Amino acid sequence: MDQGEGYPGRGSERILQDRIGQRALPKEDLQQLVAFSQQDGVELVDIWIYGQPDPDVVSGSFQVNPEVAASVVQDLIRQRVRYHLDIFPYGVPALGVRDIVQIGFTSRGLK
Amino acid sequence: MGPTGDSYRVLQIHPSRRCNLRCLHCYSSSGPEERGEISVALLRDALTEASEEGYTVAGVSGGEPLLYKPLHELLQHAHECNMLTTVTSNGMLLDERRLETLQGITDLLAISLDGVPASHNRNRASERAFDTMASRLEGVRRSGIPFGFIFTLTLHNLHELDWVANFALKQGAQLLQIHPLEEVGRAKQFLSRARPDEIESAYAYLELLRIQALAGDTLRVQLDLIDRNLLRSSPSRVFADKPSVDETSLSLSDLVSPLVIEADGTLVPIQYGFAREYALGNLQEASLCELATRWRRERHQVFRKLCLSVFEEITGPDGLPFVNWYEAIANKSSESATIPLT
Repeated sequence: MDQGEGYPGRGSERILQDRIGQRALPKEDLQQLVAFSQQDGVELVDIWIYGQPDPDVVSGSFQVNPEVAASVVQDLIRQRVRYHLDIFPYGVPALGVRDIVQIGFTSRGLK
Repeated sequence: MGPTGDSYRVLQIHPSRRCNLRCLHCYSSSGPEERGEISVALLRDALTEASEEGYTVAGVSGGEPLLYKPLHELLQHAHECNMLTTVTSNGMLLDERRLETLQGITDLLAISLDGVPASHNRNRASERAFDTMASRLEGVRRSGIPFGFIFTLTLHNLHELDWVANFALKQGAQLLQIHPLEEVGRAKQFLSRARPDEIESAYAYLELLRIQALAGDTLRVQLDLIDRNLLRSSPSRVFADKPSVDETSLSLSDLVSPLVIEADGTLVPIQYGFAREYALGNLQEASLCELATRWRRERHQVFRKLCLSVFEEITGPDGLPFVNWYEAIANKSSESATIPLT
């Protein structure tokens, strides 16, 4: 069996490549995404990258507990150069799901 | 407290390095040619004494544990000692007869899955590895044994995690454990420079969050990395805190977990292959209790010093947060001669 086969590059690059071509996230953006996602009450629900054939934007959304939403929003606003906010209430009370706030974000990709 | 927490104090047992496969990333370089094994009598005694020392989980790995004939007796005894049991297997040998021997005494069956079938087969150095493993899963479900998959994350395979997660969900798994490759054992030769770095680890974390959000409570996704920012405020998670009580009053499981029994009987802290400098000794020569007593007296403070040194190293620099503490301390244990106590 050929042991040398397999994808030679980074798996993460392959994810980005499949969606946007030969691009990567700036390390700073990656660091920010991780930091946001780690705040108490924050859940990363989606992240996707769009813009083919000339991709320049990473987009996604966080779900945030109402009690921590204000501080998370403040954090995002402080970095508004990179993040565009799209805040709207989200929740299905009839199903017993707690009210949450969904925060969309966008980040410039790496040219 | 240590990395396994207060509730789960882990005794990891490698009864043999015999395996039906010769995987490229195997940290213990196990394979079909290996024949040595530890007697079940010796392991039973070790389990009894480990439970008295506060260990609550017995994890059996290898080699392929299903090739260890007294596996049933070993797991049975662990349960009699009120320990939870896990068995880590490549899944190929999980026929009905073997599943019957695991039923009722296995709390978690962890099956290796390294990516899409072609990648799995390549890592397992067998063209039948995936199909054979997959053909056993219906029987596993029927057996009622809780099971999950372990995915070895490399620098090159994060894009396959989504497929793995979907496969795990379809199969009814309860756990998907993402374990970063370490360049030890056979991986040193066949997968050099393939360990995931901090960038790949950060992407893996984001993928984990995305998958966990999609899977909900159905599938628990676990990443075997620690966040250095969280670690800074919790040095006790890696035995790097200042002791607040007289340590002579603590049990061995307070001082070291996981505790590992290697296939030659050597008892080491933290993980397979840990430097012998820090070992407790060999179970073929003395009981676990005797080895523990001597280790507390002669080696524990050296081990603490090692833990503190690694803690300072990995919590120092700012950057992407995820680190493999197990790898860091095992590497440090190998590179350091005895660290002076003063």
